[in-house]
Amino acid sequence: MLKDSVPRVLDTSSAYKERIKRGWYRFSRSKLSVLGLALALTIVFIALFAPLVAPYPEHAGPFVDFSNACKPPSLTHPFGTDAIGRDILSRVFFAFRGALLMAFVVLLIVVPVGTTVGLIGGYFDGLWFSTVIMRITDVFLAVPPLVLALAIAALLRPTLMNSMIAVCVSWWPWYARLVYGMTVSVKNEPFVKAAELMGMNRFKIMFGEILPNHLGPILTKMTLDVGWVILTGASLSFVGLGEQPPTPALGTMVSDGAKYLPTFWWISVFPALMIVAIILAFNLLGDGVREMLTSGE
Amino acid sequence: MNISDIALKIENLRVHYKVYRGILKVLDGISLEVKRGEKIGLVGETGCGKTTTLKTVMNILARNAIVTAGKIHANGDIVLEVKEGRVRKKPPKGVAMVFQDPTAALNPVFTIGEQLELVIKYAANINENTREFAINALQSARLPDPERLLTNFPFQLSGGMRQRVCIAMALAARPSIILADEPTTNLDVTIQDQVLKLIKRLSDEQKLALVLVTHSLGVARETCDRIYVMYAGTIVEVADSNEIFEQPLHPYTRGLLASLPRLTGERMAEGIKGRIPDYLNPPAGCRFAPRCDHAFEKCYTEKPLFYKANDSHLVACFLYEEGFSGKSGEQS
Repeated sequence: MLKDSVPRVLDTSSAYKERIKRGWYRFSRSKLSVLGLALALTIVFIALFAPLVAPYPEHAGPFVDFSNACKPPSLTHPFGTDAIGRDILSRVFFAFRGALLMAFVVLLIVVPVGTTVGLIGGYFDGLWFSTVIMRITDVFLAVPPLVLALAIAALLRPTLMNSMIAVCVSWWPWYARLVYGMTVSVKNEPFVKAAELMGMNRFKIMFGEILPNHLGPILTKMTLDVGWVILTGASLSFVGLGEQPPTPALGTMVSDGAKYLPTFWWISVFPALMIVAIILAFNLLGDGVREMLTSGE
Repeated sequence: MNISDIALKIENLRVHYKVYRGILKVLDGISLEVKRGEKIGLVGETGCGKTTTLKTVMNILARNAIVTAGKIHANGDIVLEVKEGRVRKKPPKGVAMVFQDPTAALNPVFTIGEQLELVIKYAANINENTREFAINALQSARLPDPERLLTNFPFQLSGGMRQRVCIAMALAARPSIILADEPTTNLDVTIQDQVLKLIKRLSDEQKLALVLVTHSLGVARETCDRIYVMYAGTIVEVADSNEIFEQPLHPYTRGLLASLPRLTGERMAEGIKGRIPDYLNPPAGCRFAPRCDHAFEKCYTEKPLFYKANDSHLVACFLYEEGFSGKSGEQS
């Protein structure tokens, strides 16, 4: 039935190129989106090249220098130093790696799983197994994601890996719901019926005909979620359920510094500000992506 | 008549819809017959079951639809058969459909070329020179600059162009029967005319059997050889296109004709009083009886059979039970 081995004869790449150009035009109309993109790229760049960019790369590990402990922000230590004399800026840079890795891995798992569940649930809406799948999704949705993630992370040993698992478990139902809703509204469109009539494989219809219609909203949600996943990860590490010391994590740094507030305010405030910066960057970027993919058609 | 001369045959089709309020008895014994190369029009007001009939043929009924009786042949195959309460269905071969809304019929995220290519590969089983085939298909639908069109997305086209693309796609599947479900309702008048002429020309050229669903008698007369007039899930009258206009027999057909606005008329068109019946509890007898000026007792209790005015003119109305003399010329 499938004839995928046949090479594509129609070259439509120019149409997609034009589409990308239009998209960029709409994206770049908003200065805030461009700012978000620039910020996000900077954060990703810093995370990738942390050992080169950080002024004191060795401070990210088990390093102690009590003579420099709790130094306020200065030219040598722009964000100050923490209670055992480590440079906070360097540690923040290294903490970006864990945070972004978490967002990347979580979305890599959550988006395909949630999308597949939503597509199956939506396409077979009304059949018993769709009902079963979607009610299970609802059960997960009924528990606030942070609480669920906390509960799961507390069950497992506190490592970065386990906190990723915890966030994944609480995150996929949102994608399943999003895709389910959109699939239900698209599956009765005549173009889906036409594909069915031609005898196209049901999975090919779901992934080849229906799913491409959802890419805009999914991509937008993914971009916004980078920030939210990082925040959830930081919340987990704040209560000690994430990456363990001495590896830097944004949440751990904020909670460590909390003991020294308000005298040595910089120990918590700068990592916290960085969390804000990440979320802001990806929210602005996400708004731009939404603008790019949804308007004007 | 030899069975091979018949492209599409529907016998006594009954389709019900199960809804919250109960069971909607929509199609109440539809029978129609399309010969090879013949163009027929299926005319009736909104909600009378025209689209349901086509969907049943294409096997794309909504899940709450129940086929309770009937048999459909298409191209010699049995597409649907109800035997001992069990429905056997299979997707029809060589039947293509043009949907009512060309915007919804095209996938918005793929180019016209990609979608045509799928049709050519899946439905027409052609794997070589698909590009030429696609361009030919678009050209035959009178679309300008087909090369460029292949790389366009549906939203870049106008409504009329989209509908012509849909027609090109339907024909690219190389069907012998084409079902057109109000293909011009969403288009403006000048484009309507072009699209209808296109459908007519293409079905003439390729000897296609055409079922054109429309609520406009005028459109059906222009395009079709024969017209089936449908009312509330029943066929009330069948005749050659011109005869329907010159000698309408069924009170409903007369009402339809009387409700056509005329340019030269001094008064407003009359219309038909009342509305289509509630399908939950449809009238037991003739379904038109509650709205009919000529209805008598029998109309409310018994379903009328077809009475033959001549070889090609059938009417389902008790007024003609005792023959046609004196009544056929009567105006309502």
